Amino acid sequence: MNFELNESQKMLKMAARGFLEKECPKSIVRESQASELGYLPRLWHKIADLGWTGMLFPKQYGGEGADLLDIVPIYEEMGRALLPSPHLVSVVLSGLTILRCGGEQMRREFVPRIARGELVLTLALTEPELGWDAAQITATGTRDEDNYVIKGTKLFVPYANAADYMLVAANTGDGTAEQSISLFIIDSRNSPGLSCIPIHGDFAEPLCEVIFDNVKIPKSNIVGEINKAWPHLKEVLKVGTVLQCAEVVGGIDYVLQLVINFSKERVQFGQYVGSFQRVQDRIFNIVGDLDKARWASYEAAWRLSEGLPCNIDVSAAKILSCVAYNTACQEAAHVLAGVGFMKDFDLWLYHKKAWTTEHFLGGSDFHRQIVGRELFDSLD
Amino acid sequence: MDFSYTEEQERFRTEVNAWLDANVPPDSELPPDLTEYGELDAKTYTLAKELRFKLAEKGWLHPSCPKEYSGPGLSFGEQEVLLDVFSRRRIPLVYDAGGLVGAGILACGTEEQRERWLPLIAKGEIVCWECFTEPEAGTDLANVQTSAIRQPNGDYLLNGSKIYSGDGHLVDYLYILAVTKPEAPRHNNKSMFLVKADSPGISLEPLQPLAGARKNVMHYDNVTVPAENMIGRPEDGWAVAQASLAGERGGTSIIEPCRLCDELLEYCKNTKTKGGWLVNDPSVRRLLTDLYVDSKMLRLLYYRTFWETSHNIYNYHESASLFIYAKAFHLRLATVARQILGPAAIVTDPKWAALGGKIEFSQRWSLETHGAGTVEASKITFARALDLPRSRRRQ
Repeated sequence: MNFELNESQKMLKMAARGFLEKECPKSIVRESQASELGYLPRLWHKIADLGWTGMLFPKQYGGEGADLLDIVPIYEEMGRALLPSPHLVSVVLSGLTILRCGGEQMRREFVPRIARGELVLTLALTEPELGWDAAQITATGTRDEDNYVIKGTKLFVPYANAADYMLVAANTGDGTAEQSISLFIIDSRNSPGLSCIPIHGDFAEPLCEVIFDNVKIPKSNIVGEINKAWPHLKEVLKVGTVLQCAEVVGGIDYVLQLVINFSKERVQFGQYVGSFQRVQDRIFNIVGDLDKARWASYEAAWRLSEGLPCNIDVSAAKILSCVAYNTACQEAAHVLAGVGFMKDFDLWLYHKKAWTTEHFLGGSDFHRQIVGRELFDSLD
Repeated sequence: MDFSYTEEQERFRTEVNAWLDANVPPDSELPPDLTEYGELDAKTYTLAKELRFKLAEKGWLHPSCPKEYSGPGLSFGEQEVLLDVFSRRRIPLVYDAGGLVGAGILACGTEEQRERWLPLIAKGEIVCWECFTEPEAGTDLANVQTSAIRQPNGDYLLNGSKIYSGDGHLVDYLYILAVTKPEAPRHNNKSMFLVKADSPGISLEPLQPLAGARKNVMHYDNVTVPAENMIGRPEDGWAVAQASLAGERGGTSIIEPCRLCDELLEYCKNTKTKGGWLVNDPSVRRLLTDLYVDSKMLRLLYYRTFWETSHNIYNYHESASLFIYAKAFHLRLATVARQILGPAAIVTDPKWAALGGKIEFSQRWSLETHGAGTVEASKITFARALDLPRSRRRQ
């Protein structure tokens, strides 16, 4: 057993914190979120120069072949800084999927450019039904000679407005849902019948409605084999979930510091509010939840990286971190009181992030069902 | 990071299990309800005493004691494996607070004191119990009133009362915190002593806790304590007490409820009701799933804290938080069990009690929320460890 980051992971974490404190202050977060793309390409390219967009890919595809555990500390720091970037959807959810099941030619064409940050991709998976399993996918892909025709609507797709390409999940078979899902890679700017409508609201990252109105795609754009995408996607979603949990951990850590600092500076009734035990209780709640979210995420990442069974661990990490992030922000709102509900105060940015991450990659109910199935359904 | 046991640790586990198979009679498991044991089940106690000597001979009685004081000097991993196996097999150790006393002596004792006491403890020749709490010194431990006043001949004369001392009626030495310099400020007025339990002037009254395992009220009436039985230096008692409590690695008792959680899950998996399998009821499934996730986290955080302590990393706010979490989990487990099983969770009648009465026992045990300090006290430790502002003392 060893409950510590190793030396190089600690150094990565420190370096990432230093970089983001300088390059991604909250003014940049606000500027990014207000911008049309939802992130700043100039910052994105700096991140790519640091190697963050490539590190997870093997060397022959322009990456560094880093272990999942090496990027966990970087995700924590991205979460802490609230860095707006399509890293999760482009590098992790799309890049790793192509790497995992795309053919050699497709890998060579896309992965190195994703690794260098030149291309931004997103995963168009969820639909108005909302859900993260294969059964919720009602978009269809129908064979038409050498093409497939995609019809359906994808909803709340992050960064679809900014993506050069999308991976679209569609039902193409007549077996069970899990045996009928195919992935297509689609040029999101030059595909007739495809429209991307940004959804209005004040979110941590842009969310879009993407409509596929009989979009014709050559069958060479199938990622992997027809009808066989789901098992691969399921694995990549686990990687994404674990990294999202790490991001959440970093976010909570920042909120905690915000609350502690405030409690040591704000004076009421002639004393620091942090000396009141009711206030300390709220800090206690944040610390306890953070501790659970952190170690659940680390354990899940470790199991995933070791290739051990980890469905329960990944889902437990997601359940705990979803809840913890929102609880932390709520507790912070209580302590920070007056300043806490001002829009130009940083806490609002964390509330927004907590809300988006809560649903993305499956909410706590979805993951609780996974844990339940893993624990109890072996007896059927 | 690494969350697994090494091959070496797995080999050690096999070795420990094999040794226990050969040395512990198969019927010597602890009964689910410790009440019988607490009321001095003579058979269990004799067994535990015999086992203690066997364990001491093997070198495993106090796994954290260093080699130079006759301990085994086991590594973190080995200590963990050992305690885990003992707990899984419900080995009837008379847990003698040797870990706590030993930790205090190791941290604050003079070299002479360490050489005198640690080997005795490690070899199982003496069993000690900690006597800190008093009627007026519970959470506010510094308010200890028991006094040990130095006499002209150099001995100390002990007077006062202690309360809630477990096993005080079974042990050889009492580890007593007492005021030696009444005129000094309260954090500098106490010293620590190891007092022979059969010294004239010591009397006991039994107390009956909810979950068995007898406790005692102890009275000291002019008990003579030789000066060489002091631990640490005069008026260092507060520091010795703190070091003892910090070094308390009493084993796996705080994750004991996790094992019961596993058993509850198994029980529900194998139980059918009129509506079908119990775990297919969505509300039962939800209760159990959340309970399982909590239990998984309690285990993980326990291992984390244990690992950190063994590597001299002290995050006191985390250990305070862990204690509180463990207590909350135990109560939740008891509640969920009642919600799912109904009266079977609260009766002792073997015909109807779920899991042979273990669930019922857990109902009572979970109410002992004071162990190692109340939740409120742990939260104060937590706040201080995080360096939160302190409130102004009331005038």
